[in-house]
Amino acid sequence: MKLSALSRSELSLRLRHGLPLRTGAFTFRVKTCIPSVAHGLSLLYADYPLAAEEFSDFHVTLASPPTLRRWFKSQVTFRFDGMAPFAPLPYTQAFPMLEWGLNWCVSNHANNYLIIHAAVVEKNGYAAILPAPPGSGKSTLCAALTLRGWRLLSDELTLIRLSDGLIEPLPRPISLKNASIGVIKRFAPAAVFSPEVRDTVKGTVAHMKPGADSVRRAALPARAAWIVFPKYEAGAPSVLDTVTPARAFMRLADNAFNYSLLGQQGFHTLAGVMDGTAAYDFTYSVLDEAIQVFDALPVPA
Amino acid sequence: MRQQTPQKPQKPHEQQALILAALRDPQALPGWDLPRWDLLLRQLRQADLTASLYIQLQQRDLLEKIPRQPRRHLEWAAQFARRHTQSVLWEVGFIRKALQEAGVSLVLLKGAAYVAAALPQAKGRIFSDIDILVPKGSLEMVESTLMLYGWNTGHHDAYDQRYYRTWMHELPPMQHVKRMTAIDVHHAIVPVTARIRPAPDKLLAAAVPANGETLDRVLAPADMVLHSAVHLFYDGEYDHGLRDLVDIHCLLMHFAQQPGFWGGLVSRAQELELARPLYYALRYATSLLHTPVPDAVMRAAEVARPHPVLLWVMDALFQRALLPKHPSCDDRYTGVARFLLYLRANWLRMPPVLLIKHLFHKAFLSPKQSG
Amino acid sequence: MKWRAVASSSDCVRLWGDEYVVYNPQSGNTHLLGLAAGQILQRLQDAPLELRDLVSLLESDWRQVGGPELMQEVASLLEDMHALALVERV
Repeated sequence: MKLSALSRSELSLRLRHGLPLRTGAFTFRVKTCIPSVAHGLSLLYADYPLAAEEFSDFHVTLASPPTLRRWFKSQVTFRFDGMAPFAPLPYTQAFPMLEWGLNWCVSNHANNYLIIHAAVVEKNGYAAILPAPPGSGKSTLCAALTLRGWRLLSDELTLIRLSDGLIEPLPRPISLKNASIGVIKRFAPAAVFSPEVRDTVKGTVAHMKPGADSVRRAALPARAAWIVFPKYEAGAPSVLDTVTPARAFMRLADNAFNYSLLGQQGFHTLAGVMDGTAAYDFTYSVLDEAIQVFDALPVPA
Repeated sequence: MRQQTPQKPQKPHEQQALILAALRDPQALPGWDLPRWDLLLRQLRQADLTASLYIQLQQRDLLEKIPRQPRRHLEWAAQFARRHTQSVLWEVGFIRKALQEAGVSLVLLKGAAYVAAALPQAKGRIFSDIDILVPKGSLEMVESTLMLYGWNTGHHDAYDQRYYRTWMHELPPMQHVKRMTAIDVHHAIVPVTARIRPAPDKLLAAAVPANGETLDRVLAPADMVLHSAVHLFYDGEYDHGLRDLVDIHCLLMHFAQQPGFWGGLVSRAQELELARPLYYALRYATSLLHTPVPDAVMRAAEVARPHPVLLWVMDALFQRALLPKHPSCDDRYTGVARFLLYLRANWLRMPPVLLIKHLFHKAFLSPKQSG
Repeated sequence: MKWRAVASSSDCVRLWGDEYVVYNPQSGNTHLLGLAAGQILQRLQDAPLELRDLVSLLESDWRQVGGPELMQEVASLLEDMHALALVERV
């Protein structure tokens, strides 16, 4: 059963007790009384299946701490089974906090994957990994690609299976900030967004609903074919520059959450990925041009 | 449509004891249903025992029989533990070199000792610092050599420095500037100010080689058990109480195979003035984890049994404080129990006047520090 | 005095074009090495060698005679790799 089958009041009630939700390979039990979280879920997670009550990978709650502060300038705390990995945030940031919290749960635990801080999209059976430090425009590019025929595998966490080197999808709402919110809204006026949240550490933040198709195909892994390090530069033409496999390896390891933790297995898995991919630095400024470049990427031998 | 409200898997008492049931009888775990596994994993995580259970199941060839969803969580923790063992061995190499320079032989304690001696429990055991034991007379030399090799004492105020150096049994924790690894240098296993005096030179004299490949040493089997017991029952921090009790359980199970171990345990405890912590260790290991301690040993250990009223109080406190710090394991007295044990531990470490000064300082004067 | 690789398995050495990526199973660290350093490492994985013998093997690998400068360069690379715990003296 999908989340969309629940009415708003049913959704709020189930969230009060803990709603089990499946996102890709992980199930979360989400517990909260905060209306903006319920609203964000109903908007962006409509296509997601509910999970069975009997077992959840991660139990998370979002709540206002029970202090006097709740009556003015109130806050919200994210807890993972009672433990708070982040400092409390302003109450208005509850929904983005949920998104950051769900990412934290996966990146801190899922050690059967090599987890790279990167977006990853797929077309015709081949996946492009977009690693990038903040500010590179990775999420904007990722969002645009998924609006033009590429399947969203993930916008934040690329999960590479240690067992076979394939990418495990984890499609979730795409996080956009500041100017890129407006850029994507103009790029795709029909796209569904959560309400904008201002004054976060990243500035103004909003999340875009992933295509139903990406969510539907979350169980289908993909083979990595390209590593593309994007860099947005105002006014720049679209340019692809080859990166050697060894250097791409080191840059990916740097961008990984658990490369060091995985030891020898991490090394072998990443080496396997480099064997099967071509790596590029990519500078761009015009989204339509960038998409053309991606559509024309040569399939590796 | 009628609302489905989620069902709690079982009654509160059963929930509390879930992790104990798992540790006592890993053989039964393939038969557990998913709701029980869901809660068990959460208790294990809080207790830092997930990897430990993985090892127990691996040793009994039961992993494949565990349902896929919970099994994943066990595997995730095991990977973390594997990496941890690798980095401990690497770090011990650096410490060994530094101590060689100082002319002091390396005696490892606790988790690092389990890893160096390749004890079965070592594979599932995570810990943050490496603990070593050195003769008190070598302390200055060891400290300056470690500093030469990149370890730093870190930001402790003058009061804390005095606390550690004068009263406790260790230098303030040192951290390596580049590798960020931490080392605790002990010269005794209980504080200087405590009322019991397990002679460190006896421990050092009895230390045995950790393995056949290096000159690193660890405490003798009985001493290892006793150190673990005094650490658990004299320390005030019970965040990892169950994990420490599991350590004791695993040590007993492992050394039980050595001839003479059981026969010598109680007499060694008496020799080191550690008969009371040993009594508690055996009592709670048998009651909570069903450790198979021979009757004769239990009877011999009873010589250090406290007054029945005190024992009744200790039972009430420890049986709560030794459970994981998870809401499903707490009852309304758990918070009080932990607090009272914290006070008790400080009482045991220090004479009353010092204790009052110390608690006052900690409460009002100490700059904010991480625990 | 001979040099040898700390990790004897060639499993942890990968070569793409002119660049090596090497994993050290003891330290858990991963390193990017140039062609010369990578080849030195592979030679020392095959067997422990004295500097002089290592240089002769490399000369025949690279089909050139190097003289004292090559000896110095190799010695310097060995020191760098020693600092990374990739090679050790025996």
